[in-house]
Amino acid sequence: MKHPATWMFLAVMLAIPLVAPNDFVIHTLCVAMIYAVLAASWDFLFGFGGLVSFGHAGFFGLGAYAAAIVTHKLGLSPWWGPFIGAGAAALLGLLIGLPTLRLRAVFLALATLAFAESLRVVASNWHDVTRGTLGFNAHRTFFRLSGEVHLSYYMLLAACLALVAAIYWIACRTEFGLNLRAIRSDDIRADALGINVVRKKIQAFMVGGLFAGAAGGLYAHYVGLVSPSELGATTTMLVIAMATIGGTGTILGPAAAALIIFVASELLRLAGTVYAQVAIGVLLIAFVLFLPDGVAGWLQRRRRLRLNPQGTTDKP
Amino acid sequence: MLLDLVYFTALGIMTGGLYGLLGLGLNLIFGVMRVINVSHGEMLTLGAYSAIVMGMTPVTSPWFAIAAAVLVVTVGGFLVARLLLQPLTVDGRVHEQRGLVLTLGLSFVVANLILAIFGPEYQKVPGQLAQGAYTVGDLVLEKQRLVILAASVAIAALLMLFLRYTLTGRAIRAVGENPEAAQACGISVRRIHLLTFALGSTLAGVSGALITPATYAMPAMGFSYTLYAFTVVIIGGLGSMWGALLAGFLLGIAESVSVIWLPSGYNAIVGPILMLAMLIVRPQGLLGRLSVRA
Repeated sequence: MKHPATWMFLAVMLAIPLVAPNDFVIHTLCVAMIYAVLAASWDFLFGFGGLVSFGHAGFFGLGAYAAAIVTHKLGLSPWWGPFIGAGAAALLGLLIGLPTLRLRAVFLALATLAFAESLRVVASNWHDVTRGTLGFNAHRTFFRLSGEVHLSYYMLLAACLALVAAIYWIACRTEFGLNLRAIRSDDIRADALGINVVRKKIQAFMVGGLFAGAAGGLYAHYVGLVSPSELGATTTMLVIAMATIGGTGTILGPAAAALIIFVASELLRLAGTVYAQVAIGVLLIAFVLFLPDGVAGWLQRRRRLRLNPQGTTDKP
Repeated sequence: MLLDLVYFTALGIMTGGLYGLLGLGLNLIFGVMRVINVSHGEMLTLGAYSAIVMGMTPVTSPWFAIAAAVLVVTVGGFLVARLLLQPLTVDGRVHEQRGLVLTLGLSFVVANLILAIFGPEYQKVPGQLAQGAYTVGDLVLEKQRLVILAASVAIAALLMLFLRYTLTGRAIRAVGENPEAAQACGISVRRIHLLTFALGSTLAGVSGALITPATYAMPAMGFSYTLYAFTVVIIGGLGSMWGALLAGFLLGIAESVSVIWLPSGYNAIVGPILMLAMLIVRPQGLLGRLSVRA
């Protein structure tokens, strides 16, 4: 973490419950942090592997349901929840990845969409297990409901930061991340260089699913209610918007954008949820058209231009 | 039991034509522009609500409702192609991933704008071309659904003839085949793109004006129709027009007949499951060509 902005950001986040001990503010931020993990995991797939996941809500929701149902049925502590959710979603990633990652990216996007939609239908109708559209709320939560708001905030902050940092580390600092980047820019050449393209893609899908599922598990035990709407296309759309606006291929950009967009959309909710959705949609379209690399990409390009005014080198 | 099977198959065939029409539009757009249009279902919603607005005026003829839907959606599709997709087009193909993300954003904007204007209620849509039903033994066949079937097949046939025999249709196919070569032959790839997107959207808009009078309209319905369209395209084969039509009927029948065995509420899962099965078993689709591997 060499950027001063990162440290400033951390300081602000740590200070918030002390400065503004307000339940609404803290709750909104907590959910926003979970979305930050989700956006980072989507970016891991798209920004590094070039894999479009159109069913990220499926990973997220499956993680949430798995965590809630398993801890409820087995009476486990909620701390197991995120791990169970992560495992379940990674398995889903393998399941989707095995048949479709050999195909063109388009097919993968559609397959993930179909998977998420199937999960949503099952969650809405399998009343005995998921309690249908009412949502599942029988499981235990961390501690928001017991009143220790500050503590739960810091715990969640730590967990989410650790997850985002882990994604960042895997993507930017390991050979695996480099391989993925090679595949993204030219998969035929990557294949010629001896990278097992399909296997790496499947692994990437499992890793992306793992983190999305962990986010889902955190969500289930923090919010205390999981409903089929978490599996819906709105969640996916929100995540894709966050990642695109933040800047794909940077992990930290999408995570930061997720925080800002989620908080902003909660505030806009006071004016009406519909308008918040419209605003996010319009923003997404505008970014795709005018700033396809997002805010982080734009900042990077500016910095590079300042260091190298001729702009002779380009992003790898 | 057997009667149920016959009845639900008939019902499936009647909706299937419409699914085929929807898939046909999506397939045309993908085949020529290489963009996965996630806002395809929203074009259907737009068509349905245009018909509703037309129904509020003193003009109550169903033909005017359909005409309004066609007009609005064609103009809408043209504007989307010109203002949003053209900037993403390089060498005659829309940037694949950006196209996906952009149309996703568009679908949310359209659905939520309609929600803001018309409210979340289910609405009756005017434009019923035929009232009542035929009864054959125990079978009850709604006339409107038979009209939909006939119209879908007729429109599909017209489209095929258009693509096969007219100069413009052949230009569209040429651009789908190879945009650079088409450009070199003097075809304006830009114009063909605009035309194709408007045409594909129109097909969705007409579907909306046809089906919603028999069912209902609500702002969020677009997404499920987008999913139907994708399913049809995957089953039939990406880029295959006949495949889309065939797959539409198959999907309609499968979904309808599944009611006999599946508990209620689960029939929405038939489409996604069929799509996944097809991707695993035969990713090129029933009639698609084998060039889908990465």
